[in-house]
Order: sequence, then structure tokens, then C-alpha cells
Amino acid sequence: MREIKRYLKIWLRLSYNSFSAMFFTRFSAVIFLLGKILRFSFILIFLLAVFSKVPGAGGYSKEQIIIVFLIYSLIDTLSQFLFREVYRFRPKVVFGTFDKDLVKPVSPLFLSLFGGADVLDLITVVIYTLVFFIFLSSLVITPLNFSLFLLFLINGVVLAAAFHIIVLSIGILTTEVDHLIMIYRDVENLGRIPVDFYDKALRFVLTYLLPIGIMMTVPAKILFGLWNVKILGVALVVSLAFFYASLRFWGYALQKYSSASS
Amino acid sequence: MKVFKTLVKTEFYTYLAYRLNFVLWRLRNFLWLVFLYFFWKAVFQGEITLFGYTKNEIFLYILFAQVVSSFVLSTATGGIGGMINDGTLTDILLLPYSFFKIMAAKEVIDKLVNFAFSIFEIFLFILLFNPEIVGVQLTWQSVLMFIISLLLATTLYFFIALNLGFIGFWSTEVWAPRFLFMVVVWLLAGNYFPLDVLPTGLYKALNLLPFPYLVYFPVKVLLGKAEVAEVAGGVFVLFVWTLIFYGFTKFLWIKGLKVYTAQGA
Amino acid sequence: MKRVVKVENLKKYYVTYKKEAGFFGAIKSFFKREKKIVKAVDGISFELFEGELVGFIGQNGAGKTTTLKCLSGVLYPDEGKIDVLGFFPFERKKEFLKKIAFVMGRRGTLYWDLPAIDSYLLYKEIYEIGEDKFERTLKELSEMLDFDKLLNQPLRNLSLGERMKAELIASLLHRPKVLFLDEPTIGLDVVMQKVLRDFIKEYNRRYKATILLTSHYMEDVEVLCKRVIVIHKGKLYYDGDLQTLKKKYVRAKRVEMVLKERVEREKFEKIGKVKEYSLPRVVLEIEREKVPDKIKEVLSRFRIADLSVSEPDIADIVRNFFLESNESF
Repeated sequence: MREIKRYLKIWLRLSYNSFSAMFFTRFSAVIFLLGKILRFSFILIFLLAVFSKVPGAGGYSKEQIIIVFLIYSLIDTLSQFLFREVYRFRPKVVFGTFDKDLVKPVSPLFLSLFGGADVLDLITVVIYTLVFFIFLSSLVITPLNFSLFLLFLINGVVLAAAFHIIVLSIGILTTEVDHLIMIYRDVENLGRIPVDFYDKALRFVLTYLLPIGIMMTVPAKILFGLWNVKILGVALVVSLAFFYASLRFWGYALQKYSSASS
Repeated sequence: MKVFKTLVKTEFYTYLAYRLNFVLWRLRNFLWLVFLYFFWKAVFQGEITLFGYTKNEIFLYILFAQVVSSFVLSTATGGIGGMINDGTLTDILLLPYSFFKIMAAKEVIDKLVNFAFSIFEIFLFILLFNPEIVGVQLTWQSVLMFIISLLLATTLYFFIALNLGFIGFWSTEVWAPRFLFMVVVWLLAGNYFPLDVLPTGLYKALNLLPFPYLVYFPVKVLLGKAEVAEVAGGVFVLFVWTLIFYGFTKFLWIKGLKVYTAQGA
Repeated sequence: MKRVVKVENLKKYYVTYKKEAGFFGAIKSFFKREKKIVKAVDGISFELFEGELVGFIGQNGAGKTTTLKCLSGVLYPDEGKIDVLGFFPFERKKEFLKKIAFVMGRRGTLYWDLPAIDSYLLYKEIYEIGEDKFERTLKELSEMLDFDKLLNQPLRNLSLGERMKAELIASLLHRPKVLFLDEPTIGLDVVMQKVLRDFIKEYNRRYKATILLTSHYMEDVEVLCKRVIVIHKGKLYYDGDLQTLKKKYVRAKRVEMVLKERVEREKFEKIGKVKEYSLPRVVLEIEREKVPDKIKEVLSRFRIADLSVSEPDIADIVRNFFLESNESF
């Protein structure tokens, strides 16, 4: 408990600092924010336009497809808010400052993952949440479904954390790739639509190997009442396994680093 | 010509050195193609035509858009802003060739490499997912007009991208404007869907901007989905935009160099 | 005296891959890479005692930084025993990390856009430093380094030397008992080097901290350290008193003079090795035993305004040392 309080204090200080640092480049910050909101609005307009002509797609109604997109946006922006430091990890390894993190009495994974929360993304979180509830009001949602949905939304963020941990680990193992996190973003992008839209092989990959489906589509399905205990069970087991694997991978990468770096 | 050959060679070695990064960059494009294909496939379930496109035409659209954007929107100018900021632009200015010629040579290589890869990806995609694309006839007229508009669009984008780099003359924050610009271009150029899917008012407004002429217009011409008058008008507008941005580029370059040399970089 | 660090037969090897040049080389190395084993640290042993300030010297790639990384827990040793304050560093126990510091010159780790104080407040949380202790230590350290007025300046507005001060303070806020300093003065001007040197000495004295220091600048070592450890290609060659090392390997002294008249270079070359000839300043290297006679000769033959005799710097000593050891090993 004391440790949790300590880490929370460290996190608050880290976030406060990265927020203050952002003020130095506030022009860029505002432009980034603008770009994100622009992209979000444009895609929303596009979806509305397409589904003004067709009632739905792949067994999903217009509202449901938009909700899936909104859940994707929420999880994506939440993980950008929390895990922004991952985007700055490569230079740390390349220039050797990661060594300094290793001699601090705090988990290096914690520093690398949560070290620079992007407070600006809280603004987009609020906007997306508002839009989400606006579209949600056109559907009938039971309290049970909603509670389960919240649980699996958190599960989605945990899976996002696992993906980020894997990106960090690969970043330790090789410095040759400079935009690995962007590749993750493009894989994640596949979750903008329900994974049921993809063919069988791809769906398998996106459920069990790179569980974007569990991250994005499952929370939506729960919200629509399209779930059973088996789906939830599988989703939880896969999530746990994936998260555990990501931690093991990080451990492995760290071990490699400490036995091979110069 | 010899200079060009040397440039091509060094550029090519650069791609080799960063081969892994480059392959992964192409993988990103491929993932987007997969995403778009399955989205449209789901939308077209049961429908024959939507927004004036058949299913096959839409599939062809996103495939062609992928190739066209790989050619038109790939650019080697991304580093200009940084080069201005850290002063390495001076090294290029000292070379006995015009800055624009050097950039153009780099640009050509970049485009050719990306183009070659995108063709390969399209074949891979067809092999993997077997999309329904037969039944669309390409005429030699539309191919000809396509090539003309493609070349114009490429030139236009080259000048736009240069201007974006020139921001570096006046500001150190060159990445944020580039990010915003990329977002706008990728959305409004028509990479992901034919722009006439959008509400008519929005579509008409977009056509006042140069972006739709970069990808959407050439692909539409190639698919033979544009009337003769539309094609002629489009090519004309494209030409005008190219001229405007050419003038703009020259102007900013001269202004910017003054700032650059005044700082003694 | 209390033993603080004990290293026994430490070994650390790396595997690197050869890169081949050219197009075909690139393709070849893409498929098959040639392995090469680098023995960065190859069986060294030493001990450090409380309050000692020891210089760790050797050429580039001798294995200094690797050893420091093993001692601070960044690297896992391939072989051998390491004990720092009763801990095995690589376990990275919280209690251990709170007692040590690893400072690397030229590697900024503080927020670039923020004043140093913001970074320090983060360190306060990370190292769980109490309010009182934090205030007191910060005050002491920043006064010692004359940094108190710069605490609220964004780092980007500071000079390289001032930033190094900021980094040092950050690393010492938790008052580490053991310090590993890797090139703390690298890239700094002479004045700033002296400031940091004095500070390191004072910190060592005031807090009885044990310090192991590497430096490119032999003056650092000469001023700060009584004891030095010399390593070369991963092996330990000398561990002991700096003066003894000097006596053993200094066969010549520097004789520096300022002339009152013009004297041809050749005339000096008959006396000793001319290290510098920029009139009116001339620097000669003269064998230790012959120094008195040679000086007599110089004074009687030329008109001299000023003359001084000094030891050569450690760079020369170490070079001599390795020239000799290369012959015998």
C-alpha cells in the first residue's frame, strides 16, 4: 500500500513535469490537438455519410459501428495519455540515458511506460467521452451490460499497456527500428471497425495473437448485449496471458540489455 | 546526368541502410489497405452500387489510391525543416548544384522506391485476399489523362512539401505543422475512400482546396468515372495550383534564405 | 576501515557483429553475421574502503565504464563476485539504489525545458527524501556549487558546465554513500573543471562518501586521488598509490623556461628532448637523474628569465606504463 502511494506520488510529479514542459512547446501542442480533433471529426462525418445510404454493415447497425469507432478512439487516446513516454523511449536507449533509469530505486518499466503522461490528451478523452454518450443515448443499454462494458474497457487499456510494453522491449533489443510504436498504432487501427468484418484467418490473429479484437470489439459487443459467458471467459484468459507474456518479454529484454549493452 | 546518377546511388544506399525501417513503413501502408478493404467489403454486403460505385470499383479505387498515394505523397523533403534548424542546410547550399535540383533528384528516388513497393504490395494483397476487381475496363484515353494528372499532382505535392519544410526558416517547431498537414492530406486527398461519398456540400467545398487533386482526382480519371469536361477542368485546376505553389515556393525560398544567412548559420 | 566495495575476478564479455561495407556486404551481413567476442572486463579484482576517492584510469575501451556499470547494477557480470555495501548490485534492491549514484558526464537526464528544481522534486519522490533533508541537502549542494541562483532557470538556458552542476546535484540529493563518476568533467572548460573537482573533493570529505572516478583529464585524478587503479584491455595492471606509480614510471621531468635572449632550437636539442619551442617559452624533457646537471648547464649558457621543474602529467605516465607492459605481456 505504501509502495502504491509512493508510485502515485511519483506519477503525479512526472505528469506535472511533462505538463509544464509541454508549455514550452505549446504552439506544437495546440497543433497536435487540432490535428487529432480534425481527424476524429472527419472520420465521424465520413461514417455518418456512408451510413446515411446503407443501414449498416456486417451485421452491425449504423449506431453500433459508430460506437465501435468511438470505443476505439477512447482506448486509443487513453493509452496515448498514459503511455506517451513510450514514444520517447528509443532516444533514451540510443543515447544511454536509459542506464540512469536503471540505477533509480523505482521500476524502470514504470518510468518508461508512465514517465510522461500527455495531459493534452485528457482534452480529447473528454471530447470523445461526450460524443460517446451522445451516440450511446440512441441505444438501449442495460446496467449489467454497461458495468461489464466498463470492466472490459479497462481490460482494453490493460491490453494497450501490454502492447506498449512489447514495443518498449523490442526497443531495448534493437535500436534499428525507429517507429515501432507507429506500427503498433496501425495494427491497433484495425480495431476501428468490428473485427468480425475481417476474414477468418485475420480474425484469429486479431483475437488470439494480437488481441485488438478483445481490446476494442469485445467491449462494444458487451454494450450491445452480444455476449455470453464463454466470450467473456476467453477474452479474460487471452488478456491475462497476453499481459503476462508482455511482462515476461520485458524481463527478457532487460536481461539481454544488461548482459549485452556496451 | 552523372551527378544525378551519383545522387541516385547514394540515396539508394541510404534506403538499404535503413532497409528494415523502410520495409516496416511499407507494412504500415499495407495494414491500412487491409483495413480499408474489409471495411468496404462489409459496407457492400448485399448492395450492388453505392454512391455511384460498384463494389468492384470501390475495391479498385482503394488499390489504385494506394499506388497513387505511394507515388504522389511519398517525399524526401521531410528533413528540410530540421536541416534548416540545425544548420546542415549550409552543406547542401555549398554544393555546386541548385538546391531544388538536388531535392528533386532525392524526391524521384523516394517516389520510385515507394512506387515499386506499392505495386508489389498490391499483388501480394490480391494473392492473399482475392478481392473482386474484374469487370472494370480501362481505356487508353483515361490512362493517358491519368498519367498527365499524376505527374501534375506529383509536382504540386513536391512544391507543397517544400513549403512545409521552409517553415524551419522561421520556427523550430517544424514537426507539429507537418503532423497537422499529414493528417489533413491523408484525409482530404482521398487515400481512404472516394471523396464524393461525402455530403455534397462538403465535397464541393473540398474541391476548392488542392488536396483532392493529389489522389482522388487521378484515380477517378483512371477508373473512367469522370466526364470529359470534368477531366479537362480538373487538369486545368491542377495546373493552376501547381503554378501557384511553384511561385509560393520560390518566394518563400528567397525570403527564407535571407533569414537563414542573416542568422549566420 | 570499513570495506564498501569488493570486486573479485569480474568478467564481462560482449558479442558484437561485424558489419561489412558496400551493397553485397550489406546483403551478406543481413543473412550471416560474423560474431566477435569483446572482452570488455577480463577478470579484475579490487576493494574500496569507506571515504576513499579512487581514480580509475585507462585508455578508451579499457573497460572502465563497463566496470562502473557492473558496480551500479546496470550490467550483469558474466563471472566473478561483486559486493557493494553488502548488496549484489544487479538485484537492484531499493535499499541499495538509494545509497549509490552513477553520474555520467555529457548525458543529460533532467528535463530540458524545465528549471532544475522541478527535476529535483521528482527525485525527492523517487528517493523518498524527507522534506527537511531535501531542503537541507539542496541548499548545501547548490551553495557548494554556486548553483542556488540557477535553480529556477530552465535547463536549456544554462551552459554545459552549469547543466553538469545540475546533473551532479540531482545525483547527490539522496546523499549516496557510494559514487561512481564516469567522466564528470568531460567537455567542460578549465575553470568549470576545477569547480567540479573541488566540489567532488568537498563532497567526499563532508559526507565520507566513497568515490570511484574515471576521467580523461589526468588533472582530475592527480588532484583528487591518492590511489589509482589502472586497467587496460579489461585487465588490472596497477592498484595502489598514485605517487608510487609516478615514481616508477616517470623517468623524465618537465623543465619549463622563459628566455631572455634568442637561442636556436638545436642548442636545446643537445640538452634534452624539446617538447615545446615557442620563444620565449621552451619546454624540455630531461631524464630524472640528469636534471640538476642539465639545469646548471642551461643556466650557465643562456640568459633565463624564469625556470621551473615539474612532473609530467599522468597521460604520459600511463602511456609509458602501457608501452612497457605491452613489451612484457
